[in-house]
Amino acid sequence: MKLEKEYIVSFILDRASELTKTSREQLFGDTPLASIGVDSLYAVLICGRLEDHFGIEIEPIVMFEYRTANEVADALLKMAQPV
Amino acid sequence: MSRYYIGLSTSGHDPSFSIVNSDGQVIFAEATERFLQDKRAWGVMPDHIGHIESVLKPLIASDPRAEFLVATSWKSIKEELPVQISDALLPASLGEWIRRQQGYIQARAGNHCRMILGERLLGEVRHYDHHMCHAANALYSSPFSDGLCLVLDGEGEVGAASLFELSDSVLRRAWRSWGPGSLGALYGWLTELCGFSTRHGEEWKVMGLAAYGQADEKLVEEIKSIMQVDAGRLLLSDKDRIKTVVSALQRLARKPEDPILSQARLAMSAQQAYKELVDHILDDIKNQYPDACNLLLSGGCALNSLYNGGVKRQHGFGQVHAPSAPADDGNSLGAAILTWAEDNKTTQLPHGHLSPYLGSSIAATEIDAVVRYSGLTVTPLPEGSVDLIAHELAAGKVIGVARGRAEFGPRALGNRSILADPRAPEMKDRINGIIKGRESYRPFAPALPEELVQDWFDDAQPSPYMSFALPWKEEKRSLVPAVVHHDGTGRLQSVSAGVSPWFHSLLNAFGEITNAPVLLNTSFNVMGKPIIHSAHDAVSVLMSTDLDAILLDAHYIQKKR
Repeated sequence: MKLEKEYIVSFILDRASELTKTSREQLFGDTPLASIGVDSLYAVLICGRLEDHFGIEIEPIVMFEYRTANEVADALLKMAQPV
Repeated sequence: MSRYYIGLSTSGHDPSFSIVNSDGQVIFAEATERFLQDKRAWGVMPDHIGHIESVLKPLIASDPRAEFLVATSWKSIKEELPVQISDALLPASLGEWIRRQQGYIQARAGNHCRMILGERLLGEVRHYDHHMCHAANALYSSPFSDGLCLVLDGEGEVGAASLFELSDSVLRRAWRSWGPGSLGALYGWLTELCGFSTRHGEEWKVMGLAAYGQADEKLVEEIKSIMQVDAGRLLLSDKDRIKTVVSALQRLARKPEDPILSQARLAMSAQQAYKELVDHILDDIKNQYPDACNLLLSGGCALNSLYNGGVKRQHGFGQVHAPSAPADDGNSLGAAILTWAEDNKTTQLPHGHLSPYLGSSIAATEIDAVVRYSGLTVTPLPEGSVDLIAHELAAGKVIGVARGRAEFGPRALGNRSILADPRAPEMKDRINGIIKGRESYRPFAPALPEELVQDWFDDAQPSPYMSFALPWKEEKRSLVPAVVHHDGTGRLQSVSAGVSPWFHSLLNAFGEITNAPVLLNTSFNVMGKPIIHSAHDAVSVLMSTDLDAILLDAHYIQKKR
């Protein structure tokens, strides 16, 4: 699966919407995830879905260090870049 | 100049260390509990200074230019993550305690190595993914180099299940589950409900007790409903569901006044629920990899020998293998191998070494002292001789054997074993009650030559480390009643002449006398203590139990009755 920021952001928001039962239309790349009820457990579950879907290995700290889907996507893209 | 690789198991429980040489071969592996004689050695550094010094000092003396790399069996410090993923079932205080133990040990392990090794220790301590360590450990003793490796445990870096693809001895993670779904934690919680202690590692007792009960279908479904399996990954059900089931099942918890056997139905239901959940995972894996032939099982759940015994037949694998130390004590071996591979810039991991005899020897000076000063009756035997021991066992003697190097892992496999004749039905009660001080319902395991397993068991398969409980053939059960469990199974050790020549010869010599080449083999310890480590420990068990004699390397030592 190709890593593109827009797609990653959308994927994260889809999962956040499912887990927190928040309407998807209300969620944007800069919505603070904690404000819609993404707690630490949901964050972990979203990490797992990201890892499976995009076929990358994710450091679990990502979802805790970054507050919004935009920030998480940026961090993932940075991690996935060849060193 | 030789380079050695030290792996440290840093979970905070079951610490151990392993050493791999420059050829990628494990030259030493042992749990700290043995050296300290403190079961599971909770909270102790895996490079405990006395223990690791006892091994490194002679190694450096024999190889003065030796240099070392050190690695731990975790990548992360769990307490640094702002999430508690294992306390949905076990008490929060226990989860917190375990996490802190791991944090403390993981952050500081290697300090004692540095003290002893000084400039011989190269660079910083390295860290490897926990489940990858489990997988590398399983691969090392594996008879095959292609297939799959399933790791199931209490808690990994992000979850409690991982699948690895194994191709030409290269491991690659296929997937891992994230979050609190954990079969290890589920089984631990059920162990507590049955009235046993998961901190003391008493999951065994649930397996033993299960044979005395019938699974209750409704109970099985309730337990299973706590967990969901999605494409092999483990997920916890929603919080409300868990709360309902947990409070319903909590009412079944054993009260102090209840007899143990009152929990047999719960134990069997727990085992059945575990079985159905792992079956679901393996069915999903078979869908993902329809052509997969070989399976490695690792992680603490791979100690569930009762379940493991049915995997090969039920799931259609050609070979199933579990290492001698699949739980966290074994991870030091995985970490040592992974640092060897990284340092040698290869992803192809070493394997094929089946011997579990990787630990300490009994010190000759200690044996000499016992021989000289104990006042016990000592008979020196020719090296490797088995005849006298075979005759003594056939005459009903119960003998503690401490010879050669100790086994790595929780099972005694002939070098730190109490051996006895399984033909007498009362032998089980004698050893359970008077020697080991343990509950009468618990079964004893048989050892027999590997080439004879098919004559004695249905679904015969190699089981060199007692990882598989198999059904005895109906007609054989009455011949060796002390090692036939209530459900007709035996958690056998298949003994090969190549790996365990002395034990293999002893079994054959015993078979010539008795027509049953089968011995009762249980760990050389008393209840609550680890397997013995020294000649002093062995003599202490001899003198404080109903044990008849001990074999200390080539000295047969009897008590005056």
